Amino acid sequence: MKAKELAFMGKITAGTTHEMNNVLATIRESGGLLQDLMGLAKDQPFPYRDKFLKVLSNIDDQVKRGVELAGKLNKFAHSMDNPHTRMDALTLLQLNIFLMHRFARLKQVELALAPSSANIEVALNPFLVLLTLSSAIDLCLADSAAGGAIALSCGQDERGVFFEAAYMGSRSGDQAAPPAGLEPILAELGGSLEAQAEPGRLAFRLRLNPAR
Amino acid sequence: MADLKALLVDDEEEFVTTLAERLQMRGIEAQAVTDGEEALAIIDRDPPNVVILDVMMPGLGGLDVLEQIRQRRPRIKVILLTGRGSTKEGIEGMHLGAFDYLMKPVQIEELIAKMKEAVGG
Repeated sequence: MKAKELAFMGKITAGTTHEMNNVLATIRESGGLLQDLMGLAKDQPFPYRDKFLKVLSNIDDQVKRGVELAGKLNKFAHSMDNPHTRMDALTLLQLNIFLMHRFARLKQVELALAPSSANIEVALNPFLVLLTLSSAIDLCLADSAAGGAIALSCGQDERGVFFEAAYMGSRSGDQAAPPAGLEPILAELGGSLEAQAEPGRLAFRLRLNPAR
Repeated sequence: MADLKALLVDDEEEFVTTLAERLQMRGIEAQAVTDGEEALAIIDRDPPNVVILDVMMPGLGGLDVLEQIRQRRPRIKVILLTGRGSTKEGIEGMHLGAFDYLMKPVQIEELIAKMKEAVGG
């Protein structure tokens, strides 16, 4: 996507998440007012008191969930702000997990951070790294036969920094090829995408330019 | 500690009036307005000791209102309400003289504690 299109997407998404937070704030206060009124009337008979309090508690739980979702979406929107950003690798991977979690859940595949993942601060284009890793996750999900898990990690070796999406589980195929159409994105990232396949494992490793 | 007398300023009418009502139920004098100009008129006429101020408002924005409050009534403590992911405005507000900032949606207990800290400190 061109820079202007990305900036537009980012701006609108960030603005909309801000509006969503206003909606959530109103819902929280309205639910809170009902709880307050229930509290004031606690000595008066009310047949559905416990049910009301339970539902109001559920409403607040959903507000918290909404706040987390809006916050993560806002972070994603801001990933389009700056093509040259220094950020924690783990923060980026956690955002990636949030973005792709629903798709993994639909395929009954667990998507999580690898325990061995290093927390490195790295200069990168966060939006393009998210796009590339998400494409790799998509391929892993398409390859999975049933269940299994995808682990996201970041590491560093003699060739530089890398991000990896590795699926472990039953595979429906035995081949591995990087997702198609990513060449311009990899060129812009100054990186490469390596695929590694074996029975029960499919992994994609995104290497960034060693100079980063 | 002085009694709390709060002015709530937010363009989301439903949110700000409900929040004021909840504070009043807790014995806190609280008035709600939905724009910065109205807030400044009240501050001149019947000043509160603490202002809860939304940063993002149409017309006169929260940080502009804050600057005006600091000039006209510097003893009033201002607590900013920012959106999640808008810490930049909160920090900028602190540099402009806000007491602190909280992120929306805010827990009322946390807000009251911050108000007491602002007025009592």
